[in-house]
Amino acid sequence: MAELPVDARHVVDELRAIRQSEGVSPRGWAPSESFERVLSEAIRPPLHENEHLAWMHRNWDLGALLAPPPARGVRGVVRRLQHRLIMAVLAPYFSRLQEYLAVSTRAVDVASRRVDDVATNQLRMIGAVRHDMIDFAHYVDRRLDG
Amino acid sequence: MGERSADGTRRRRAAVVMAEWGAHSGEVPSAVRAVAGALALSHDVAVVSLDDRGDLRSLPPRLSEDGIFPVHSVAAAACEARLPAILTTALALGAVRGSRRAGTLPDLATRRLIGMQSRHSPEALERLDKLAPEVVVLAGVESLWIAEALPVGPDRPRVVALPLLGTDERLASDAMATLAEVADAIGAVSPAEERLLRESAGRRDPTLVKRLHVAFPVNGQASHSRLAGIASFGRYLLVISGWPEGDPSAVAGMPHDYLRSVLGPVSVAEVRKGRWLVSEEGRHFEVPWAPSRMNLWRLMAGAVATVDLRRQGPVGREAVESLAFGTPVVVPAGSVAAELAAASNGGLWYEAPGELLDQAGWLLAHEAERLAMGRAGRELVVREHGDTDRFVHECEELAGAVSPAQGTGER
Repeated sequence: MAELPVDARHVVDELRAIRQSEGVSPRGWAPSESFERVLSEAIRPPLHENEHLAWMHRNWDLGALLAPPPARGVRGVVRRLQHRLIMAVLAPYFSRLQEYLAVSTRAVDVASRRVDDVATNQLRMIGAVRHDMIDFAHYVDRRLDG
Repeated sequence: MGERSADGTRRRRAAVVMAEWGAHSGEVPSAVRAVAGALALSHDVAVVSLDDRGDLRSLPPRLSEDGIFPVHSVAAAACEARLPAILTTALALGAVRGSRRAGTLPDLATRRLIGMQSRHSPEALERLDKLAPEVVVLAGVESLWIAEALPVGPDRPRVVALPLLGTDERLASDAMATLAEVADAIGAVSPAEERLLRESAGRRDPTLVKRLHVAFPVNGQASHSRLAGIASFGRYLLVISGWPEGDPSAVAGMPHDYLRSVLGPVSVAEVRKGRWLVSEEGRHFEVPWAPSRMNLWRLMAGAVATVDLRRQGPVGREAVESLAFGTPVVVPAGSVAAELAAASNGGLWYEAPGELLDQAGWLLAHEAERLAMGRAGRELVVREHGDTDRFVHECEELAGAVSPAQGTGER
């Protein structure tokens, strides 16, 4: 392939001359990357998919732990007796605890979804503002270019 | 120190003095490290690092190993960074308004600026006295004061100055001319630096200023193994806004969709401070691979062009490396990298962000010319920055270990 001679200085001068012939200076401004950083940093997994919250969802129900022990024979009889004795005293407490865990899990779930909604809306707003700014930059450029 | 080499002769001792050795891996430290490495082939090299230790100035000098060289850390306070920045800007504004001719910086302001940036340290002189080197290399403007402070006499070591100021007009000033009285050799790492130094120090003694063709070898394998995950983005422009990590030349990047909205459909890979991003319309990908130089080379090798947004250093290392892969560059005007682009016809340069977009757009639209530029750039870079033997010889010549006529002097 024949070598194509390129003169970098000539190219730069030519590009500048084109600008000058249009009576405009090259843009001295470019939008900053700050919005981009905010946007790219905001893209994270939704909070309601958080692994701790998922664990809470899996483990809030104490039903299996509070059920009578299934063991058979003498050992089973003794264990069930123990269970009945303990439950006779602590059943109201366990019941309240169970209720509390269920409500807490639900509350954290609602809060996380709300946070996700707010974050999504904020992201959408920043995206829209940024889009408008870039549009505005082009508008100013076009006006300056006559 | 002073060990014998394989042929039984005693190796000479050399001390390299620079500010904040090992603090970051920017262009100046990597150039000085290359010089120290070249000298280490024939000298026992020790490093004296002028470190700003903040409130811990009273601590005694520390000796550590950085894996290659023994490093003597001495306390040397840096001045408030904004003061030299303000004075530099004021001097640059003077040039823009035409209040003075180029190359005629006000002497007092220039001396004051160099004085501000100097890191004076009696400990450094004591350390050099103890090391008793035959050669002292003063790298960077922070350490040049040592040339005047070293005692005169038969034991005075050979003083080699490496201002590493790139295209800074101070190089052509009278302040730099006085360096010729106290230095035995002055190294210039770029044609611009050599030209400016010849206007000042070179007037006194033209043989004093010597050009160093800093060798920056690149791993050619990078052009065969593209960075994983990049191929799906097609043609991309590489934008460098922050590299390497901790380098003070990092600047704010440019929004990728703004670039695309001006340049048309092209992917953008950006090496920015702390993270690397690749994007195309509607999709972006944060590069999970280590931000290593090898990975940067992989990005360079596959890019349409490398656009550098950073304040430029005295060697233009990333421009050199991009051209070594045949990828044209778009770099700030007035920099060493821009001179390299002009001399090699390997790239374009810009004054304002708008020009940057014009130049990048031209490269995208002119495929044949772009490829020719890449080839032309590569040719010059291989010739000027790819010869390690020549660089080693030049360093040894600077250190007075060989005469100019010896060895590879024909080159």
